[in-house]
Amino acid sequence: MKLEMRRLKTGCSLIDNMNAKSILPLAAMILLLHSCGHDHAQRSFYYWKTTWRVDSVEQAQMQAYGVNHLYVRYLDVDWSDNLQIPVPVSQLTPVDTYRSLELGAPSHTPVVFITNRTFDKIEAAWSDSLAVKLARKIRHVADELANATNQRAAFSEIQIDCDWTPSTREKYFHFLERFKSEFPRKEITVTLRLYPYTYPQTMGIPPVDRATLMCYNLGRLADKTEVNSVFNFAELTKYLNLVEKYPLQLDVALPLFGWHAWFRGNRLKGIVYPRELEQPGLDTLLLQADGNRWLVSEDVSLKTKYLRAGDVLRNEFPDKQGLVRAAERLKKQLPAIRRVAFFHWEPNNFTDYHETIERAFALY
Amino acid sequence: MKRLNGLLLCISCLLPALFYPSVACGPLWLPDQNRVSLFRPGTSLSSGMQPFYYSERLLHSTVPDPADNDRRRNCEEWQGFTNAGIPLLHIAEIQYRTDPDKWLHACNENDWQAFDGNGFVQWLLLPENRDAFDYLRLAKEIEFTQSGLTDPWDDGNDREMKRRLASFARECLKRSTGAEKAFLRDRYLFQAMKCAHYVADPDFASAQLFPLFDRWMPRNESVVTGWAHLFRGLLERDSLQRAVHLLQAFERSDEKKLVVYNRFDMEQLERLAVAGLDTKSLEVVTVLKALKSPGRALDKLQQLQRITPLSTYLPALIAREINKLEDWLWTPEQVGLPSWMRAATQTEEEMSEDLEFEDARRKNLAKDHAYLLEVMQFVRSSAFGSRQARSFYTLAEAHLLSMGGDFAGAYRLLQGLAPLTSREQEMQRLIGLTVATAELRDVRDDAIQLQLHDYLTELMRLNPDFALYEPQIISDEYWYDAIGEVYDEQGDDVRELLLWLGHRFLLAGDIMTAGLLYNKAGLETEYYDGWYTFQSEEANYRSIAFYDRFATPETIDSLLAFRQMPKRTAFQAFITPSAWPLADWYRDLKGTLLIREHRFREALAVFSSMDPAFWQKQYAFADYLPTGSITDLGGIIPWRKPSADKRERVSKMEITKAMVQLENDMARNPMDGQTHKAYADALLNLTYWGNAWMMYSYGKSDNERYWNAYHDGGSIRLHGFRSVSERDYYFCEAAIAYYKKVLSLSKDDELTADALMMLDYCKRLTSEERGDNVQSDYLAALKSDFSHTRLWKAFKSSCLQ
Repeated sequence: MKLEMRRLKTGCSLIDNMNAKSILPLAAMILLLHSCGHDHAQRSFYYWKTTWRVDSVEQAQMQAYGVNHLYVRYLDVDWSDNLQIPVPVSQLTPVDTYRSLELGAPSHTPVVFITNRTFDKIEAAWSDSLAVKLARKIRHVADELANATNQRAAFSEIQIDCDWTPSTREKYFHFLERFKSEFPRKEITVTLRLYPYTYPQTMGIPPVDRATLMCYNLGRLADKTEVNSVFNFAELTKYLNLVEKYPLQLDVALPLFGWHAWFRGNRLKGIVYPRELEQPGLDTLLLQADGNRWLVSEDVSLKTKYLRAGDVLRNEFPDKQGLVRAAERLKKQLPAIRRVAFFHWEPNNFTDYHETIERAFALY
Repeated sequence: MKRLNGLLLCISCLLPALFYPSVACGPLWLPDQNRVSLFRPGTSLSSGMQPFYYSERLLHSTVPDPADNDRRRNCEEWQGFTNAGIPLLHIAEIQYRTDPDKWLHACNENDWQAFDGNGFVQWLLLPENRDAFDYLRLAKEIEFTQSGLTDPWDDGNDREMKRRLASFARECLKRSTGAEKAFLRDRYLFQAMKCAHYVADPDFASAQLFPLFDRWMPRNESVVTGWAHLFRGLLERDSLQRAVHLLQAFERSDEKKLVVYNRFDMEQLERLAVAGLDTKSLEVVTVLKALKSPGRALDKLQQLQRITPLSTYLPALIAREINKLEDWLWTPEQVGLPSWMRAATQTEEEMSEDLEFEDARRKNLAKDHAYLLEVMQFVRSSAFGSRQARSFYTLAEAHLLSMGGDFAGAYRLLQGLAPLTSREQEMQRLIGLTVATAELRDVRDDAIQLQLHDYLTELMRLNPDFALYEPQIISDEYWYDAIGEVYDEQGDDVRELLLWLGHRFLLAGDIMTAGLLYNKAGLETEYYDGWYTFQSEEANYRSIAFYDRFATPETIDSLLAFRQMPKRTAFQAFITPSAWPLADWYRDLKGTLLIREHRFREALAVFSSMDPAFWQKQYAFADYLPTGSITDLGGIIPWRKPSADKRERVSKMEITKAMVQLENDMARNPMDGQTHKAYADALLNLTYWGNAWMMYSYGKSDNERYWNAYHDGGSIRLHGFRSVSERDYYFCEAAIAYYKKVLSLSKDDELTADALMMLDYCKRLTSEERGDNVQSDYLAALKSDFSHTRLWKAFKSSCLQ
């Protein structure tokens, strides 16, 4: 593993930034796929930022991957203790052009993340109000994007992302039903974690048109013995083996993100993000212990954290081979996948994953 | 450390009553919850530094001025301006506790009934104070505009708010230049600056406002000058000028310190440090650099001392270094209180579980002790200034001495300080005396106990936050309050001292008192103490958890005697629980401790002395007691069918009686294999794997495995069994010994086959690599020599398909 993540340089050509070996087969593969004439699953990424800023290099990168769809986070909804109501948070603001949606990504799906505590706190009646207010907000964000880009970005689907629990299920599902009535001609989908996928009797089946199975966050971050809490193919297989058929049509999302779980002894001290490790000289202080574990050899201050000698950083970026195997396994398990997505679009995080992305997309 | 209720709890998989699959297990501990912090940063008496009290996790608080220093200053300035003896509370009521809408309604309707009796309002309504009234009205309109249009779902808010604020900026400028009184002039200018910032209008500000600011404000000591500096800085285009004004805002305003802190990163501060700033700005830059250092910052403190030898920021920064040292030297990963508890019972095996980390930990401790000496040297060299400043340095040095193990030195310094007039400093003195006394003296001595009692009660008198309410029973769902975490840490010092004292009693061999102190502390440690919502108060696991780990049967006798004691010393009364659990609850534990040692006859005597209905009426875990005979392994052993004779749940007394009966049978028939086989089956039933595990343990988890008892990812320790009973419970050693004895006694192939099967099965249960991968000689012997037996056929059909 290379702890210092490489950056894409703005203004460079795509060839400068991508491995040439990876691009040529990719281009050939795209041509081949487009000429085959049979239906392929859409290739998608989650765009999970608060500003829309996709430069020309990134647009070209999307095009090279054959990305023809994006899940775009429009806003979050969280509970406000001050106001005692759910409130919109971190709304997407258009900073750059929106042209990339024309460039190989002709469709997008607005996504709204709603915290589970929102449903924990709201009165049942608020599930109705929230649906109405959120519908208006989504239209407003879509209008803002359209105004900023001089083009109306059509969408036929809206996705709700919420880690609901048995105690919030009833209010969440009621909200979904009400939300659907606000958009009768659009498809309403949800994200689905592996736990509700595996235990639908406990967690219920969301009353929506489809769901996207989010194949990550599989393990216990705080467990020192955990291999990788973000993604572990063996763990994913255990979940998949438990379910023969889920009652909803499913798409899938695989992780393209990670961090370092920071341990002192057996105790989790926190999460160290890749950018925090972009510090000159730091790589000489981190010694590879085994596999994805790095031992801190000397005390060192990061911007906000003080690592001590003897601390361990567990790299939790997904294993490349595991991702491809997961894509293969999911294709077998869920043959009707309409769209395969990666979470999330952050090119700095996946400079080493070009081939993996290509191979996973090529399977569908 | 964090109080019990300060937890994010996902406890389901740990509770006997909640055995269903769960996505999360155990409490999530965050660094501040495990801190043992006994140096109170408030001892520094530094104004406005509360947001920067040390916290490893949060870096700083999100509450800008928790002491409301700026607001108090503003009210005092208004009090001086009115010159009418108006109480500060009346001014604060209007300035900070009156909703703008309510104020504007009163202005519009000229209806002041809601403010009846408020001297400040009465003063404002006098005709000669019309200019002040007009200012306050406009200020409230601005406040309303900033926060009043608060439907967060309304997308038109932002535009309307900006339009109105732009208009206010110009109105304030106009009034500022026309104001006759400097007091109001400066406030209008500050309001204009603020509005210009919120509408992002630097052109208007630099052309119209900056010249007035430069003429009127810099030499003004008013609180609004600091506030105006902030907005002046934020509106400034030149980066150096911007920094200078922000640094001024930090220096002049407590409320704006946090926002200024957040505006700089370390790289910017490094550049500013060599940008030729004036001394005051350079001082603030150095303070910010120290505040932004998560590790050692002594070099920055030394820089600061060179720039401003008597910097008022220095004590607060020293307090941060001491709090960091507490983290590094006293946290559980190092030698924090819970780990001390562990050290008292730690086996060699546990000690050596992670040699690499152990080595690093030792080296870090040595480095940190060396750093402690450096900090102490610096503290000694800084001990100048006012009397209160010198008291701070003495308290700091005493604490560092304690951390370095020189309790006698600490005690001498603290004894040399008379009771201090500052409440914060006096609390620190008492904390230091408590620690040093506990370490230096025999805590079993009545006179020492009385002294400790006096320190603790005086601390509780000085700070109501130290009140020792009983630990709350946690509600079903608890949302962890991260923002309150740092302040909670400041409120649990007496609890931490109780935990500390408990440890001293444990080391002195007084387990009973140690447990009472541990329970009184009510702090979360790395042990599983039970987080139940459904147990009765009189038989709650929390009340016996400590004793479950540390007590002997004799400890429980002492506890029962203490419970009945008619007269107690002040210290004993202090540590007595406000409500005792049932005596039978303690007896249940005593019997259980005896069971773990296989002292069944004594256990039977204890259980027989209890109310026979206890396990039905008060025992929270009754549903986990077994049904049927203690020798019935049905449901555990695949080839044995459960007995059809299932009855009601059996009490611990009945099970123990059966065990005694089996022992009597063996005594009568010492050479009878069947009798020994029945006893072995019963012993197996008492293990983690058996139907009667509850005879041994008060909890069981699906995730619990014998090899996880110590290697559980560092989250919790479920049980504190002693090593012998642990081997019996998880490794079935006692049962295995008796199955082997059966082999030596048996003259019957069926019985021998049975014992071999059980030995094979025990091996499969207890091997780290469980199940079919386990290679067993017993199975080989069964196949080769006992394949003709009926049991082998049953075994084969159940297990070898």
